[in-house]
Amino acid sequence: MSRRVPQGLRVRVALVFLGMTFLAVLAWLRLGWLQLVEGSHYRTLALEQRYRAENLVAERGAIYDRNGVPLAVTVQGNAVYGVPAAVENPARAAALLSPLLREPAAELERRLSQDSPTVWLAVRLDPETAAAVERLNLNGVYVVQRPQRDYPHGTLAADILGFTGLDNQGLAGLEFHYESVLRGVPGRHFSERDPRGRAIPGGLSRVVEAVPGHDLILTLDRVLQYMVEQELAQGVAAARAEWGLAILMRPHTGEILAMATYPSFDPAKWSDYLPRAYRNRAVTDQFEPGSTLKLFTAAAALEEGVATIDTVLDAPGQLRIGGGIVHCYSPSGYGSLTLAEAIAKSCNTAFAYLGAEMIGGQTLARYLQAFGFGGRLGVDLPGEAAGSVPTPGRIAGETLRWANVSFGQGIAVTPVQLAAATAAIANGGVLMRPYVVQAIRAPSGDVIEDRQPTPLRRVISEETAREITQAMEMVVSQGTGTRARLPGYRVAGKTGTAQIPENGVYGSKRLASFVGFAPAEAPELVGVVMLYDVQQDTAEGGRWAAPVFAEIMDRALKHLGVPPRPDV
Amino acid sequence: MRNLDVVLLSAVVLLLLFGLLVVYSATRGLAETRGDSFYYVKRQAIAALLGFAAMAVVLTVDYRHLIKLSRLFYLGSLLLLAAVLVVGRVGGGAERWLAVGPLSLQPSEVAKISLTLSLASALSDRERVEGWRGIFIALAWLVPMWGLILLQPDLGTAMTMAGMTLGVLIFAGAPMRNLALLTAAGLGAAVAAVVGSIQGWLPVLKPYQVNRLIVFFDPYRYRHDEGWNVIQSMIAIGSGNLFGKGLFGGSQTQLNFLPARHTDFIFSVIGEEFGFVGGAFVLLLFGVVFWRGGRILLQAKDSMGSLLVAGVLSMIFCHVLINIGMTLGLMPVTGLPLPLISYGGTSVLTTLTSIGLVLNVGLRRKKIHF
Repeated sequence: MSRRVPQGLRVRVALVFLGMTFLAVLAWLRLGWLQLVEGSHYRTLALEQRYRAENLVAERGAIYDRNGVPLAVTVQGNAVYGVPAAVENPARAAALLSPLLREPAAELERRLSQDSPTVWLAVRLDPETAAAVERLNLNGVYVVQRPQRDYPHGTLAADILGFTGLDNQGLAGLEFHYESVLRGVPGRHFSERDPRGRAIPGGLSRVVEAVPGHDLILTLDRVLQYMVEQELAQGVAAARAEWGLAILMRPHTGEILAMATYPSFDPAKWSDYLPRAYRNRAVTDQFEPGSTLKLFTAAAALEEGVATIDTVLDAPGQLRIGGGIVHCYSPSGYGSLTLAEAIAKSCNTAFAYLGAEMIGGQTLARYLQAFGFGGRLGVDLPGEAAGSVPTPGRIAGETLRWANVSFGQGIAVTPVQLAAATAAIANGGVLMRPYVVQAIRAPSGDVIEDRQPTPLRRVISEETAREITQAMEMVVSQGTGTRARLPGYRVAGKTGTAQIPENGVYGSKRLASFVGFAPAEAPELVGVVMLYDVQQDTAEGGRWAAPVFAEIMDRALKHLGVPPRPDV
Repeated sequence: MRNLDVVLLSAVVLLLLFGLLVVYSATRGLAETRGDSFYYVKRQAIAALLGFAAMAVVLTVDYRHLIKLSRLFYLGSLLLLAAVLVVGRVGGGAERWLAVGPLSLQPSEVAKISLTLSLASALSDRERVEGWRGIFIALAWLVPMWGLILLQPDLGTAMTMAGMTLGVLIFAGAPMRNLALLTAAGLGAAVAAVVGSIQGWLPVLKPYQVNRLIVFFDPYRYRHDEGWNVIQSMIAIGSGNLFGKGLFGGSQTQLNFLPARHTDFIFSVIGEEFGFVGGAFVLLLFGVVFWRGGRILLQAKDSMGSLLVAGVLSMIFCHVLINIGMTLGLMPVTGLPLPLISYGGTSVLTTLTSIGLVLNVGLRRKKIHF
């Protein structure tokens, strides 16, 4: 016979049992929640934390010139990286590394103190330096072989090629513009790891191979590029200009054979330069062109029939027009000139009247746009500027403005637009889209994309083009561009000397330029040369830019095997 | 021996055997560094055999005789707890172990049994439990032990002892209203201690304890430090899904993601390798222990017996609740073992001894027929 259980105790037992059951059910529900409801989430977490994926670098595609000469390649190089968590004394490590890596100790210390699994400390190290870093034997600082971008020709075509960052990602130029083509697809290496990140022996491991990037084959010719850069550098020095640029293009196709800005930069040490140093000004910058634009005003006049190449125009020393005054280069003027002579002598007053009164703003604007000004041409280089052509009927002082535009003021163009428009005259009237990438080639050698020349539109008739060409020959034979004369080749060209507006007013700075092509009877090459802020007593394009053009053209034509004619 | 509760004993044996299996799974990698992948399992099995021996010894003596000796046990436990503070071995931020030759003893485990016996003895006279009196008597037994435990500090054991005392008081017949007030006051003090420690005006908790509490509310805040254990435990359990990843198949367990997996976080191993089914099975077995234990409590011959059972069951319940709650992210992390399953000799030994006490009470529920 058991002891009688007091009534109160029974109630308590029931209460306690209830409480315990409640807590047990709570635990049980929680268990079910974690395992059954959230189960797949936790399964993923478990998987993610034990499978670490490492990126496998895809080999970046190379860049070749038109003859297959490599301009940008990927090579295995030494790099130094840090694992901040493993560095015992970042300040000491930075102090030791600083002289070897030629980086400020403070910057290295900052990187070594970052909350990041790994940080790059230096890339593209020579083997001796890499060995010296290894001899330091610092915890958390390691030397590794990794693919690095190499530019075998140093600074050659740097503005076009651009450069890549620490992770070989394109940051400027073609490297940036064609990033998706060059980069390839990184591979992944999945492997089972313990919490300290150590691979588990016999653990699962899966590799998705990287797909190498495609190669670019450019229209550039390494030899021509070198010649252009060399002559440009001399020209900039001779003119004591701030900087200069030059373009060499095939008039019938739009292929850019050379394009240079001087001074340039070293793509291997790009971070040592200011960002403006690696701008490809031929594409990204726009200028008031000055007298070179007269070619297109004249072409519009011929094409519209408002004048012939022999029409006689007044060419006074100064002309009152639209409430302003326009000056001819010659203070006393030339009295009267045929249109061809006006081009050769580059007289502003004759062009102001021709453009503003005879052609009219509406028509002039239409032609300028047809020549490619005021809109992007679609060049395959990053950051192309559009330039600007005034909109007829929407500007103040309309007549004066068009008078100015006629000789290249109050309008902004890019050097590559100028080259393309000049090419349209050279090739008989068709505007071609300029381009630098000729083909994209897979690592297998298969050509993925073969670029063909792209005619954008016919701008003027062959007849007009021929007449303008003749006038351009006069510029070189007896006009402002005589310094562009070449023995053995007939040269067509036009000089330009533009005032450079600063803060909205014209100051003392001058942009000396020359555009042209040769041989005039069967053009092979179009060239543009611009020298910015010439620091000489006279700053004319004919004095400073024309000789550079001539040197480039002479060497280039001979390189291309265009035979000189004994009769010229 | 007709009154021996075979169902209770079977549940206990099943839990123990399952525990050995899980300890093996959790430690075979760890034990290989000692040259014997069964190292931990063997030690645990020896402790279990010792535990069953202790249980047998306990069963032969009437629990009333044991309760008479409770003061002796109590004093002995106090001495051991004091010794731990002087010559104890540090583990996980607290001094908890005493080295006895090749073995290490955790006096806080022993102390819990002594406290149970003492409370059963002190509160068995219903006259003395009226009003606040019983509560004060219980506190008088609890506080000296508590003080020494908190000095280690061992929050888990302190919580368990509070739970045990409350359990015994409920069955001793202390007024429910007073118990509710006491509980409220205790919880209030705990909250004050926590908030005070966080704010710094009452620094009673060590920084790691405060962090564990913060982590309880936001484990991802310190996911590489204090939060790591809980997050890895929840990933282990959660990724087990319904049937688990199979014995030795748990990546969290086998690849060392789960810390303290053979001791405090053994339930996470069960959850990962045996899934919801395994976890529910363990909970069910503990349910059987409480069901059979509760039966014995009600059938006990005298109130001393029922209080003894109440104390033991409360102790086991607190352990199970705090430990499993911790692995499920429902409780802050404290270093309490899961009874009968976690690796730990003292825990196994004392748990089996205390189960012996329960069986003892059940055995003597009626006059023994010769």
